[in-house]
Amino acid sequence: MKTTELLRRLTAAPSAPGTESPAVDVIREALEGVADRFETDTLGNLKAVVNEDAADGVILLAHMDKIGCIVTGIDEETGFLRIDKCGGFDARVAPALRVTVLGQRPLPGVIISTPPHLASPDSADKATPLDKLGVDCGLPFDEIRTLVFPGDRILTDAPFFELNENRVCGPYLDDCAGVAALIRCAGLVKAAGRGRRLECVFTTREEVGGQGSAAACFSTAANTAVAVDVSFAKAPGLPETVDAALGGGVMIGYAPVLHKALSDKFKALAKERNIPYTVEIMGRSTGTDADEALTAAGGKVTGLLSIPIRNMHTPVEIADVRDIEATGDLLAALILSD
Amino acid sequence: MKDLLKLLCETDGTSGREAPVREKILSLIGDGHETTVDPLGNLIVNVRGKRRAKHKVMLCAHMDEVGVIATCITGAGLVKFTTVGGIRPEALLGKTVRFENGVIGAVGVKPVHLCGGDERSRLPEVKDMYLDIGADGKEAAEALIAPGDTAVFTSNWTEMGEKLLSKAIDDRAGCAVMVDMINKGVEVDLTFVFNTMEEVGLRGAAASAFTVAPEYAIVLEGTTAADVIGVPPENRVCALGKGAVVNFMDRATVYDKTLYRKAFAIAEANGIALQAKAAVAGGNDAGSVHVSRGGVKTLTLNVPTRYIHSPSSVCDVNDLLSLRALAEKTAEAFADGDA
Repeated sequence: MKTTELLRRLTAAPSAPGTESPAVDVIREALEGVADRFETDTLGNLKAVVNEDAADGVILLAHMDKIGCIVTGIDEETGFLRIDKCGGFDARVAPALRVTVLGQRPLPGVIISTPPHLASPDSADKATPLDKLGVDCGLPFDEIRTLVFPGDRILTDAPFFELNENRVCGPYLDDCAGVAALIRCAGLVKAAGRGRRLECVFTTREEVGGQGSAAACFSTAANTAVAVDVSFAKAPGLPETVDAALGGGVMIGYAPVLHKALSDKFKALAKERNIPYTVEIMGRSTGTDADEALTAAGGKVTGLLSIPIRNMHTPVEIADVRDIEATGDLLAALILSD
Repeated sequence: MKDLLKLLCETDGTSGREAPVREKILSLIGDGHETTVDPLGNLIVNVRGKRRAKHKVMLCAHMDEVGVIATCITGAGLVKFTTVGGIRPEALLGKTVRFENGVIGAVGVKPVHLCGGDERSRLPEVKDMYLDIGADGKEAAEALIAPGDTAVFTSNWTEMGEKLLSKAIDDRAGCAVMVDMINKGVEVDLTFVFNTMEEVGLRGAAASAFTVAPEYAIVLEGTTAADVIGVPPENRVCALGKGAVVNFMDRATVYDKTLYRKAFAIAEANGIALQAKAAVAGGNDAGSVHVSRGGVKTLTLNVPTRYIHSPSSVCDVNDLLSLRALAEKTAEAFADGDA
């Protein structure tokens, strides 16, 4: 499947933190005939194993959960849903956003906004916190109370589209881009018919703390773990230190918590295979599944590859599919290397 | 009516670029009417009824929707823009717009992770925003977009029970009502005007009202409803599901009291739900129409609409039907001299 088509399907799966099973179905379908075996665990992680009998396993981590909101209550008078964030939802982009409420059945809704005619002049530059907004599903209280319950998740319903042949835009490239890179890697390793044991783990709850990664990395025999997530691409108004360009290739992470020899190996492999890359330097932990992998089950040799995107945690995340493919290629190079 | 509104909302046209909407309306009303397009792009349609009018009545609605206009292309290939009509920064940030040639632009956002202090809760000004059209560098962007090109919010028509969500309900709702009246036929001669440039200062209406020279005017609009969570009842302006809305005063017009009362009398006599716009806010083409020539007796009727001037406004199909019914009854009454 073409990367763009895969991303279209992955981004459409309504998998919020703690309720990721819709993504599991899409990923299993994409890896049908590629994985030797699938496993799921208590926290909802999906593991796909390739080269099952090979030694020296590597666990790759990309998260299935998507940032969203969570229903905290229903207003009896208006029937509107009270909400709060579920993951790092950016309140600045919330007003007038189309959403899907994952209730008894998926319900369309919109986060409320104030039109200019009614806005007070001094509120122009203030974002309203999510718990002061609400979701309008157009239904009266008596009807919506049977369809939606506190704790139900809400996801952005914005279009996924191609800006041009390489650029895609939509919500949830974080971390559908990483998931797509793992799927590509698995396909390449399967086609090669050799290499180390590959455990692709599609994790849960990354956006609320990385609990899925912690459990998955405890349960694996693999000694090496590589998280694959998105990171910041160069864009106006960002610090100079953010200099990874869209289309510039895979970002190889260096950080105190990452294993330097593994980062160096990625760099060497990228050079050797002509895979475009940049390096991403972090001063402490990484804010990804790698942080939980590091200390799991007595510790792992841990690495991080990132895919640059713009507008992270908004409905208009933008990625270059070539960067996703480069990431998959570099992961496969590691699995196939000696 | 619902299908008509969907068709019109899914057509793009910001102020001064209403041609696609006008063409859509012309295709929907078909031949057989006396139509004129004036120099400002207003579409004037004279519809012959079963009987002659004692007084000349004009119904009008505006075709334009709020949008953005490209102002320059940066060296990095990003498109700077300003708004066409009033749009708050919160309605733009992280949203997508579609240019006339189909190119989609995304309004870029500094990732919240990289925002320090109060930046996390502060909205940038429009002058600091940009559109990402996927182009690398000025040349690539200039091949797609030129300064002066316009765009509107991408459409996302959604039905939520009896509530309808879309961009541009302000004022394709008024246009839909008029198209339906034209297509179903009218009892008495009426003039329908589809105006341009309402969102940038009620401009089209100033020209068309002069040309049509009506004795009575009925402006059909989508007006702001604030019947949402967190807003106290006294600040809600009007509410969805409670019928059409009539203005007594807004920022552009103090309305003719006789017509205002007549609207309620006609609504009651015909069992049509009607509510007052309980705030002096906003303005519409009535501001231009009522001062046209020697003055025009003017009434504004609306469909109450939440979140106007955003990508996701919401109205109730029942209110749209109320507006449709009341527009017809008031127009007939005024034309027959019963005002």
